[in-house]
Amino acid sequence: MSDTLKMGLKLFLITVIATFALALTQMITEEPIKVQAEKADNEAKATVLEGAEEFVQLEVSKETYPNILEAHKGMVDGNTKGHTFKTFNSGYGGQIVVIVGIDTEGTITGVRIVQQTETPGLGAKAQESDFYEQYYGKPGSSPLANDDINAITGATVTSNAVTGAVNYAIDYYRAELVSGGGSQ
Amino acid sequence: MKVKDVLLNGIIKENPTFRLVLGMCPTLAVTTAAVNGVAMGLAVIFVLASSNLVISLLRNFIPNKVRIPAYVVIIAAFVTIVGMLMEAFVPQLYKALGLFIPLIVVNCIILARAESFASKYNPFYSLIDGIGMGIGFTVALTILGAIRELLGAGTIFGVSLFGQGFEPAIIMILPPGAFITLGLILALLNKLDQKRQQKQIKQA
Repeated sequence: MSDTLKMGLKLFLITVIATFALALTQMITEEPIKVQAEKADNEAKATVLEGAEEFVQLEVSKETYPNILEAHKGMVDGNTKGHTFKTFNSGYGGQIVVIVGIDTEGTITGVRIVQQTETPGLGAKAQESDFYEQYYGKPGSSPLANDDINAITGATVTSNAVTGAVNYAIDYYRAELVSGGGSQ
Repeated sequence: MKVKDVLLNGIIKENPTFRLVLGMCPTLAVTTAAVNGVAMGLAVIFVLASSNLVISLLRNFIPNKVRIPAYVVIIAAFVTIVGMLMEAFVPQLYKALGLFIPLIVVNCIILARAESFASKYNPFYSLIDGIGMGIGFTVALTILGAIRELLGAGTIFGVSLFGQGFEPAIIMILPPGAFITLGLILALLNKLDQKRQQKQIKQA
């Protein structure tokens, strides 16, 4: 009995120490991780909407646009340069999060995949410029069809998912920024 | 026991992938490209060496009957901490290795080495064993990745070798390609081993 108790206590001690070590690491790393994520986001925003220096966050209704995580208005010297959208869609191996830039003329200025868990060597190729640069210069006046973009060989699901994510941004642009003209 | 022997044991004689056939899940999953093999291997070297060291230091404290749950707790906590620290302080490295870190938790090589080596030998040898096994794993994964990448995408480490005319066999970077490649390599190594043994018998 006492042996069993001793064993249990030792195992308990190990789990307690492990938990404390994890909690401590979590406390130390929480802030830097958040800063890193924000930095990566800001860099992506600046690359998809070149020239914009300041980004103002827009309020987006979660109910009307469930796939838009964030929307920003890109400004330079007080003038609106365009908008960036962080949207997500289901890919082959999980969620794909992309950042899309659309300028005031309604042209797509850039697309970047910021988060993905697609198959390395196949779907993960969506992160390469050969793929995402196909979206550059496409008009945001109507949703893109899957045929507008050459899919990655062997990764049609991923390719269509990225197009879908870009279309969520186009939907918002058409509904809120062109016809409504509110925040233009 | 010589340090060199402990180190080489993991790389050649008891290569975790080709000889012990351990850690098959990450081996088959990530070797779609040579660079993935290197990245996964580096992450494993680091975690394996560190976890071997910690387990060896605690080998007299951990009761024999509950050693497996104790190892699992220690290894899982360790891997998580490494992942978090990496994400916070070396984001560039995390971007390259981040996907592989959680995969290491389920890597049975770590548990196998804790059980069969670190729990029996002193911390120094355990550290060397971890490094040796890690290198062996890295070499094996890189070979697998290079073969699959070459046939499945026509590149090695992202460098195109065959030019535009080459039609890559996509199946090689899909799951079946992993099994086919690994199976053929294992067959080849067994054949070589058999030949060597026969030679030894003849000489004797």
